[in-house]
Amino acid sequence: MAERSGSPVVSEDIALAPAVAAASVRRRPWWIGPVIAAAIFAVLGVLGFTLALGSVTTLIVVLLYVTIAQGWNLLGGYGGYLNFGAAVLFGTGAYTAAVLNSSLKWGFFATLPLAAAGAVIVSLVIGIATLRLRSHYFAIFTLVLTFLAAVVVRNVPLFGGANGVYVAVPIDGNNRAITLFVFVTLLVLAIIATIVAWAVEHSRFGNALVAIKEDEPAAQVLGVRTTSVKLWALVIGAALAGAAGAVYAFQTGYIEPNGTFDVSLSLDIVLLCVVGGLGSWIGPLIGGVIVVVLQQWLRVAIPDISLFGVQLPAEASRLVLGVLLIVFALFARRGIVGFVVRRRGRSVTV
Amino acid sequence: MTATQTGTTQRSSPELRLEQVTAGYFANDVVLDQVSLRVRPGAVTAVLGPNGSGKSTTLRVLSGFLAPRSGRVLLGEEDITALRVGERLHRGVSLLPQGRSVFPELTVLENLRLGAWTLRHDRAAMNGAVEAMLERYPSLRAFRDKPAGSLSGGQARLVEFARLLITRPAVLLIDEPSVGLAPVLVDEVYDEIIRLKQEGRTILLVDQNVQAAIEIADEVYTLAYGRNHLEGGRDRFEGQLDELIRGWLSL
Amino acid sequence: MLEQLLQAGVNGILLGGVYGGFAVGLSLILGVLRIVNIAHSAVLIIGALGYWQLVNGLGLDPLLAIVPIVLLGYLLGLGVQRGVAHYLRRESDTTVLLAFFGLMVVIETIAIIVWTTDTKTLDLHYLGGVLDLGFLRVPVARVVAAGLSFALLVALHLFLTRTLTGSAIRGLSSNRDVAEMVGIDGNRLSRHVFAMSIAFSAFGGTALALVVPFTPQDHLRWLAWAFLVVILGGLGSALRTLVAGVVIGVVESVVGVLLPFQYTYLVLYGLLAVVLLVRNQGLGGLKARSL
Repeated sequence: MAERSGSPVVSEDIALAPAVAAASVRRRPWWIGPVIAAAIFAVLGVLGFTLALGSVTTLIVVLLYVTIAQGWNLLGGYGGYLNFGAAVLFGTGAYTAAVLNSSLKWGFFATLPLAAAGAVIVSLVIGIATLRLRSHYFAIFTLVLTFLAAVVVRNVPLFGGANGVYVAVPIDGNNRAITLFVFVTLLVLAIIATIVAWAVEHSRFGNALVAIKEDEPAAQVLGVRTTSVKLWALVIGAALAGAAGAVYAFQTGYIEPNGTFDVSLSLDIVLLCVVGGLGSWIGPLIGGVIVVVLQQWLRVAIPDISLFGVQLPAEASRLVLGVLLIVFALFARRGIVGFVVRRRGRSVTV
Repeated sequence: MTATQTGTTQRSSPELRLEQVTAGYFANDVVLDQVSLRVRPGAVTAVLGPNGSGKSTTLRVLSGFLAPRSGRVLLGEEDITALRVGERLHRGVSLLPQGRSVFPELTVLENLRLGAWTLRHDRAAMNGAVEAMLERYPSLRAFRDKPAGSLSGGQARLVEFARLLITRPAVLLIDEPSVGLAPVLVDEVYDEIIRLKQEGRTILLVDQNVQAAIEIADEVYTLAYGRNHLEGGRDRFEGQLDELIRGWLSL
Repeated sequence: MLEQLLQAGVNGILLGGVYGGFAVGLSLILGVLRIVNIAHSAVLIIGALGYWQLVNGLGLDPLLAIVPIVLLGYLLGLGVQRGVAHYLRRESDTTVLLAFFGLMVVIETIAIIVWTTDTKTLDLHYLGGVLDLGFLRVPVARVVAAGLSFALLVALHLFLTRTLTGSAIRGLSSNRDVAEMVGIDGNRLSRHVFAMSIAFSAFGGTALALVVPFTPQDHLRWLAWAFLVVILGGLGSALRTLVAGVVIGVVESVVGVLLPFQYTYLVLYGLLAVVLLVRNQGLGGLKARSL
């Protein structure tokens, strides 16, 4: 009868939306990414031991953010479920550690895993309630949760209320020793987080997450157990964020609700993942460095700038970050990693 | 589906044509490849073919939901390729889509009134059109205030027909009208299509139900892999159904 | 105790009307346009601040000053939609969410820069004072705010259900393709629904300003409330939004009488969690997004 036409005919039945399994055809050797990451960590490590304490604190923030962001990226970048409440999980870890330390006098290494566990528990509660819904509601809910968490903490005496909680120093020693201790701990955490992200991206779990982002109903039809995959991603992210929170608590020595459950932190994490590259294991690393450096620069530079003769207030830095997020979201969704690594996806119709 | 004769005087309906249309959905895919067909007035033209041959896409191009990459859509002498869906409706081209297309949360009456949306600037005309449809399909009156989502398959189909015809379109594009209907209703649907043909309209019918389609068609086109395959009058296809279908299965 | 409860009940109803008023903007944009407007509360804040500026700063009549705020909101909505629709149409949900999150931060920060974080209390002029009905005492401003909200919501309901354009909007949100098929200009209608949503949000800000003192950083709390109302009331019905608002207002007020104040939030969010778990099917259906 009729000859086969040259080009493949795609089923026009759009109702059965194609499930896209994007297989990235990388044109570069596989070890380039890991080498770059290792280089970045090495540089950070060296800088940590050579720079002045003030700068080391900045590096600490970088590592803190990288840790949290790598966890966030699993559900947010790969899975497409944006969590606007990273601060909640972070804060849970911080408060767990702080309370355990101040009430029970537990030390740093003892509280760390428990802080992670605490964040995991909270994330499970959130996740079970909301991950069955579509991603929009998850996003709003997590955003709103930030405010709610602050309210809870402020009103429960165990958490110190508005007065906050004091935390002892993690180890004995002088300022420099403590700072370096925190730095090294976070370096290790960040490396672990990055390895976890790398492992996820190269696993079936990671593929499942991407499938959920591309087309969740199709993924379900294909047998992906979407709710459990999403929960796992959230939980891993929570563990990392909680651990980071614990370190933060010991580093600052004092935490209180407003500073800990701050939407700014959530914004920063989201921003650095977007800038670095959503859904890429090296994105948060790159984004973390860039955004924190940018933030510090803004903080220093802005007081010196005057626009129309008016001094720009400190909040202007947040304004810049917000605009940056909008710009990247609309025009550079794949972030810096996306510029560098062009991914070719092949569509597979189901 | 008992219908009463209503004075649906048509000026002579125009012919609808696809000329060498190539179309697709995503950047590089080709679903229709240089397809041409003529839909003549006062006749039923059927477009048949296996799944994936481009039947639904043909309707999308004809109705204005999909812009072709090349080729033209002609209504009479006018090139309507650039016209969007609403504008084509103004020109008298109306679509009855596949599946359930009523607005489920709206009442039947609201569905009908929205069907007459293009008449909204003349409320008298709009009300008249709605009334005309209630006359043509009297059983609609009984459930005019029910939400369309609560209707049975046959009742919803009735509403969809009424909405299809409410603007007195000359050209009807009908997509798989019998899917999901009980057999007794299927007969009524095809009877109604024949009646519409007798009223002088230009009708394009896309259908999986090859037997029923060929029975009422005057002209038949078949598509394969997005290209024209066979065409001809009904007599050419009658009695060759088995061969036709077997041929599709081997494609 | 009974008096207290009655007072709380009435307070709750009034407050609830206001909640419904400022949640309906979110309900509209989410239900009809499927846009998750995370910046909704930021719009509320700007509305409240702009209103405050007019009333406190320029000394305008508090009732009249509502009008320009709402009109500005509508015009702004039209402008934003026109400018942004081109991008948003082609983008995924993630992109829209991110962009709106960024927008929320930008608007909030601008609000803080211009108006600082000081608490603002609206100068009520002749709307100050309290209605003393013996067993009940209600602030006049609250009655006005609630009354306007109720009226607006009822008007919206009538518009959506009794007019042809209202039917068209409901049809558009139900099945965009079929709506286009009958000749409805989806883009134009979407533009006006978007603008309506912004206008309602701006109005919500004025109602809020009439009822409580506020600062720009409060907006997350209002988002929480709006979200709660929308979840409880479902999308697509102005009346259900109103009822949900009232329920929440009453629960909040009554619980506030029975339990120490801080627990009201927890109760309400517990309620939300339960509702979410039970109703997940009604919310999960919104996947397709159109602008």
